[in-house]
Amino acid sequence: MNIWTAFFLVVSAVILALPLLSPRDAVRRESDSGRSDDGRPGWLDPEINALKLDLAAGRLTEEDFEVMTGRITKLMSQSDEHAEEDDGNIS
Amino acid sequence: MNTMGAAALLVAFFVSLYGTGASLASARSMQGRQGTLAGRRNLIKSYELAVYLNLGLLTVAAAALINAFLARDFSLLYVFEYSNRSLSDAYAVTAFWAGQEGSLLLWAWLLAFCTALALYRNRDRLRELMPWATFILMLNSAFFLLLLNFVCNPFAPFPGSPPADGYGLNPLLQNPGMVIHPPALFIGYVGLTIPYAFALAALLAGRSDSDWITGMRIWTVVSWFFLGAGILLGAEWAYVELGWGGYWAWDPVENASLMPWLTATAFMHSIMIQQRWGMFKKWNMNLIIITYFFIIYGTFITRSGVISSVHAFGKSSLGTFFLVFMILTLVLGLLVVWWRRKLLAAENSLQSPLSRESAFLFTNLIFSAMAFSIFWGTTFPVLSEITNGVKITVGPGFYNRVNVPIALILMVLIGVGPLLAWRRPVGLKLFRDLALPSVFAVIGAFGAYASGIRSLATILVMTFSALILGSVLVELYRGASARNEADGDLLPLAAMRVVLTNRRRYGGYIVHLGMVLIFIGLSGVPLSMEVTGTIRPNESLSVGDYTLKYMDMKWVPAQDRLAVTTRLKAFREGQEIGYLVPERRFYENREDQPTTEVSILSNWKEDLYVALTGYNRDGRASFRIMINPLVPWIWIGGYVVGFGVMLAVWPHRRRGLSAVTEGGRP
Repeated sequence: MNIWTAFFLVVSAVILALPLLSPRDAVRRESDSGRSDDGRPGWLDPEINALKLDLAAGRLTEEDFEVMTGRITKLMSQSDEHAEEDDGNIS
Repeated sequence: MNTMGAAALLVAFFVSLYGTGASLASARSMQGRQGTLAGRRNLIKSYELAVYLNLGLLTVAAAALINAFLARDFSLLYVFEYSNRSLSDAYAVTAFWAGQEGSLLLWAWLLAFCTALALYRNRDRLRELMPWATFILMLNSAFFLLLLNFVCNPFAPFPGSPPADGYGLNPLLQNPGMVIHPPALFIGYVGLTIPYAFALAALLAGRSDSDWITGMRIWTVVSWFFLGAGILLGAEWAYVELGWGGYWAWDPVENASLMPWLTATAFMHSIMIQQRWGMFKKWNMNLIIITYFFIIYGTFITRSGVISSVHAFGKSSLGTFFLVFMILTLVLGLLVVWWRRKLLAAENSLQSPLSRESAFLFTNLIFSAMAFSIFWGTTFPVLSEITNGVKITVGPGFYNRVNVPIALILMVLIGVGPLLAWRRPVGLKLFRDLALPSVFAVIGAFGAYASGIRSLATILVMTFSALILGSVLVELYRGASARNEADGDLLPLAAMRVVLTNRRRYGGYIVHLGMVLIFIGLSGVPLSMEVTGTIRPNESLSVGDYTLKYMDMKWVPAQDRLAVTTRLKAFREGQEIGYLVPERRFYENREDQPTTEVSILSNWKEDLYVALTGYNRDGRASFRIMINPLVPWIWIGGYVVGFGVMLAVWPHRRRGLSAVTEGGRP
C-alpha cells in the first residue's frame, strides 16, 4: 500500500465514521424543500396554468379540470403528510 | 500525481461499496423502523458523505489523468496509446476519453457528480426514497469502479521504461465534434440513470404515488436533450470526417445510442399522464428499466467487440462484465416491478381512443416499436452467429423500410395530438381545430410538389411538417385569445405572455418544431445526387446545377501532419459561388490511415459536398461531389430543440397563480 492509498483510506474512514460516532442529531430538519413561503411546491403553478389553458381552449371539461387540479393538489399534500409524519417521528 | 490518482480511484471503489451498504442498511431500517432514530439519522448522514466523498476522490483521479496527458507522461500506458508530443493541448485533454479506460473514468465521474447533485436537490422532497435511490446509484458506481481498478485501469504503467514519444490520438478523433460528442452522450446516459434509480426506489420503498416524477422530470428532459445532442454531434462528425457523404448509416454503435433515446422520449411523454391521471404506471416503470437496459446494452456493444463498427472501441474483456451487469439490471428491475405490481394499478382508465391520453399511448407504442425494431436489427448479427455460426448483418434497407412509415405516423400524431381533448373526444371542435393545420398540410404538399420534389416520402414529410406547424399555431392562438379576452392584452403580447407563463408546454411545442426541422432534413436523402471522377487541373465535374473546376493541388505541412489540399472553384448555373478546399491528411505515426477532410458550401436548401478520394503525383485528383438537399435543417433543428428544452426547464419563479384566466374560465 503506498502513502496516497493509506492517506485517502484514513481520511475517508474518518469522514464516514464521524456521523456514526456522533451522538448529536446529524440530520438537518425540513428545509430548502423547493417550496415557497406558503408551502406550495414550485412545480404546481405551471401544471395548473397548463390545465387552465386546456380548459380555456375547450379541451378539458370543468369536471375533469376539478379532478386534475384536485389530483395535483393531493400530490402536494401527500408530500406534506410524508414530511409531517417524518417530523413527527423525529420529535 | 499518477500514484495519487490511482490511490484515489482505489479508495473510491471502497467508498462506493460502503455507500452501497450504508444506504441499503438505512433504507431497510427506515422501512422497518429499526434501531434508534438518532442511529438512523447518523447512518443517513454517513452514506450521504460517502456520495460526496466518492465524487471528491473521482475528481482527484480525473485531474491526475488530465495532468498526465498535459505533461505527456508516457510512463502511463493509456497516455502513451492516445497522445504524443505533437498533439495540441486541447486534444490532449480530450484524449482523456478517447479509449476504454478514460471513457469509463469519465462515466464514473459523471455518475458520481449526478448522484451527488440528485442527492443534494432531492434530500428533503424525496427523503423516503433517497436511501433506496442512493443504494442503486452507488451500486452502479461500484460496478464502474470495479472495472476501472481491476480490469482496465487508466493508471496502468507502461511496461518497461517509458518511451520518448506516444503513439498519438486517432486522427479521426481530432475533430471539434468529437470533443463534445462523447461527453454529451455520457451525460445523457448517466443522467437517465437518475430517474431509473428513483423509479425503482419508489417501488422498493412501497410508494404508490407519483411524487418521484416531480423531481425526476427535469433529469429526464435534460438527459434526453444531451443524449440527442450527442447523437446529432456524432452524425455531424460522420458527415464531415468520414467522407462518404452521409451522416447516419444504421451502424450498430449509432443504433446503440438511438435506442435509449427513443424509449426515453416515450418515457418523458408518458410520465406526464401518470402525474396527471395516475395512469401508465406499469408502462412507465418498464420503459425506464428498458431505457437503462438499452444504455448498458449499447455500452456492451461498443466495448465488447462483438460487433464491428467504425465507432466502437477495440475488443476487450469488458464485454463479459457488461453482459452480466446488463442481464442482472433487466431481470432484477422487472422482478421488482412484478413484486410491487399492486402499487402500480392505474387510478383511471382510457375513456376514448380519440382522447389526448390515447394519443400519448399511441406515440409511446410507436417509439417503442422503433426502438425494438432497431434492437432486433442490431442484435440479429450476434444471434445469427450464435445459431448458425455465420454473422449476418442487417443493412440500412431493413431499418428504412420499418422506420420510415412508423416515423410518418408519428408525425401525424405530433400534429393532431395537441389538439385532442383530455378524456373525451370533442368531435365537432376537433374538426374545427384541425381546419387550419389541414390547410397548412395541403399547402405543404403542393409546395413540395411545385418545387420539383417527386419522392413520396419527402412530400409526406413536408405535408406532415406543415400539419405540425399549423397545430402549434392553433394552440398558440387559442391560448393567446383566451388571455386576450380575459385581460385585454393585444394578441402578440398575449401570445408572448402565454408562452412565458406556460414555458413547459410551449417549450415542448418548440421541441416538436425542432424535430420537424430534423425530419425535413432527413427527408432530403432520396433527393441527393452524386458524381465521382478523376480530373486534371482546369478540368471540371458537374452535378445538378453545379459545376466545379479543379484549380490546383498543394502539399501543406503542419505540426503533426502533412495534408494534400486541393482547390475547386464552384459555379451554380454559370455564376461563381466560391471555393471548396477538400483535403487528405496524413498524421504522424498514422501515415497508413489518411483522413478525409471534406469541404462544404451550404445554403438554406442544400449542401454542396466535396471529398478528395484520391490523388496522383502528376496533379490528377479524384473527387466525390454530392448535392445533399435539406441537410442544413438537421443541424438547425438541433439548435431549435435545444432552445425549446431550455425554455421548458427554465426555473419557474412563483408569483401566485398567474393563470391565463382568472378562475380558469375563458
